[in-house]
Amino acid sequence: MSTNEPEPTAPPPAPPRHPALHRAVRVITAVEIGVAGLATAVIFVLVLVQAGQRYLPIDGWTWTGELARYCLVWLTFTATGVLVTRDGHIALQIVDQIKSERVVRAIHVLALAIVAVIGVGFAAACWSLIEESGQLTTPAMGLPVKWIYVLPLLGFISTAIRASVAAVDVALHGVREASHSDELAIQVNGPGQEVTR
Amino acid sequence: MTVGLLLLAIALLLVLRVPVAFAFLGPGLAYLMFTGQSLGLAMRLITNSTASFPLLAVPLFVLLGATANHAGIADRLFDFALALFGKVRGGLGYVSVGVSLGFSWMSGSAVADAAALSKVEIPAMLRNGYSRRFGIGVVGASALIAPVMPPSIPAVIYAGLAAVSTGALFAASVIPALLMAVGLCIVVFIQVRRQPDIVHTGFSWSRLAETGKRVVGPALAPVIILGGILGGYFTPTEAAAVGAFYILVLGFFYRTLHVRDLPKIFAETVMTTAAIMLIVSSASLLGYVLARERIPQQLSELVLGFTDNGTVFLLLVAVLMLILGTVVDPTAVLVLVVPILMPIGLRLDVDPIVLGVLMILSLMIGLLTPPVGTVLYVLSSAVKVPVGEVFKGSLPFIVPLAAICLGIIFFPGMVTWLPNQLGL
Repeated sequence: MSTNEPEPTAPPPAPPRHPALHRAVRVITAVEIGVAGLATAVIFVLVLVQAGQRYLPIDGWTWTGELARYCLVWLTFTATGVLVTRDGHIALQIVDQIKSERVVRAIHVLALAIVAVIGVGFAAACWSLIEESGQLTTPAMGLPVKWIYVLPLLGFISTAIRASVAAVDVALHGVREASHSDELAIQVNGPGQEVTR
Repeated sequence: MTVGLLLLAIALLLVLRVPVAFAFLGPGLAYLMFTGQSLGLAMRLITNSTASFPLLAVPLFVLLGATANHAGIADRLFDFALALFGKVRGGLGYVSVGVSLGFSWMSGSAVADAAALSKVEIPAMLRNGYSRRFGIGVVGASALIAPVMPPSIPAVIYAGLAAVSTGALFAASVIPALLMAVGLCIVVFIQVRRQPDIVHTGFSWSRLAETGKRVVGPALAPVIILGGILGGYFTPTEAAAVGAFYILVLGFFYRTLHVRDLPKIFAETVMTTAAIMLIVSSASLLGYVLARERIPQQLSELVLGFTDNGTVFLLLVAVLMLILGTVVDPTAVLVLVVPILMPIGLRLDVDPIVLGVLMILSLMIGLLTPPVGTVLYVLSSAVKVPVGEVFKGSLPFIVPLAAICLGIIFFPGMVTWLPNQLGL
């Protein structure tokens, strides 16, 4: 047996159904994950700095803890929409065991539609809070409080849009096709790897 | 009545596969609207619960685990454990427990452990004549050590909610986590006697020394993390950052990590953290609603009318957590029930640290049981076997874990001894 035989390869992925939408989603996802990843990196650096400050002969910065805490808020809500598209939110998956594909599809569409409505509700809640915040500023950094809620607002708008698009996608193409489609899937763990939650 | 409708709506949404966080957020927001409160209050509640300094440890411990995963630390631990236990009958079973125990010092998530280790350990067991059911069972049950052994993400969340020392909770979890490993090894010992086809690998001192050298670096991580916390050098949040930094440096030193891996590591950290933190924040909104409806007080009166014995209370808590852990995510359960159970426990003189360790361990058993059992789904996906088969394999390993829960209830000293010795 020849050792130079080519390795069996997986069939090439099907071309995206809507290339423009595909590209747009990839860019938006990259931005969302990028912002959330940056927030994580800032938390990491600030907490390291805070740990180091105690053992170094320098004055401590009071704003590091405050900024790190807001970064956790931004990280959480910026990635919320991406998790919807990736089916990455923790959910009770017992309906997936139902044999009828139509029933499973209908339940998925309904669940995504509910998520979209809740996303709209919380986007409105964010907007309400931005309006209520007025001229308030944060104690250490003096950052306008309304700025803190801008990224969560965008995160919930993204959640609503992504859930709506995913609901339509599942309704038209079914659960299996939609979740295997690269149009809306996010390759966070690299192509071909299991998504672990 | 209002709360009944609210809980019914949540149950319905959960069954309809609406994500746990949104199943809490939707009815919570609806409650605020129907009671004439500001929509902004909902947003303020969920952001305030997220912007907490102790909870900053969550992304940092997730980052630590993800970095250790990418740096190939599990492979090094596996090689060392194999060199150590390879000659023993059923050695790969002990290797699985040992690797999970070693990796648990760097990872606080059972799901991450199961995902990382199942791909290495289960194929190795199948190649060496172990039954598939046994392999899945031992890997799944061993993964549960991670969220109990410090650094534990559920412990960070519990400590934040219950306002107890994270360091004390970490110290209190060490003995139960070690007992989990011992209990699982006993089940391995019993089970491998029924498998005559398993193959043993050899033993050599040179191999042990060679693989031992490769785990010296990773072995220092728990010293830095736990030693830093318990020695008072760092807060748990700072220790998480220092631990992640150490593993990053170690990965670059071993050349198993490269700068190009960093975006992937941070992206994984973002996804896992956001899923956890959204549940924490959404459950805080629901907690506000329950508190406004005086549910904790009513439940407290109900429980205290039933018993005034701390041990009976702990038994009830363990049963409740086992049941809730099978259907709801552990993080959500913690955020919802800790504010309710803590005051009752305090009135019954139950140590909050004992309550915390018991709740975490009982909830983690739910990760191995249907219908939610996240570890079951991860293993089912990794090994391509039905969830039911994974559960059957895991069932014998649940027995020692349940026994440890009983041990904590009747001998709480096994939890409080170490923190007391350390003056925490």
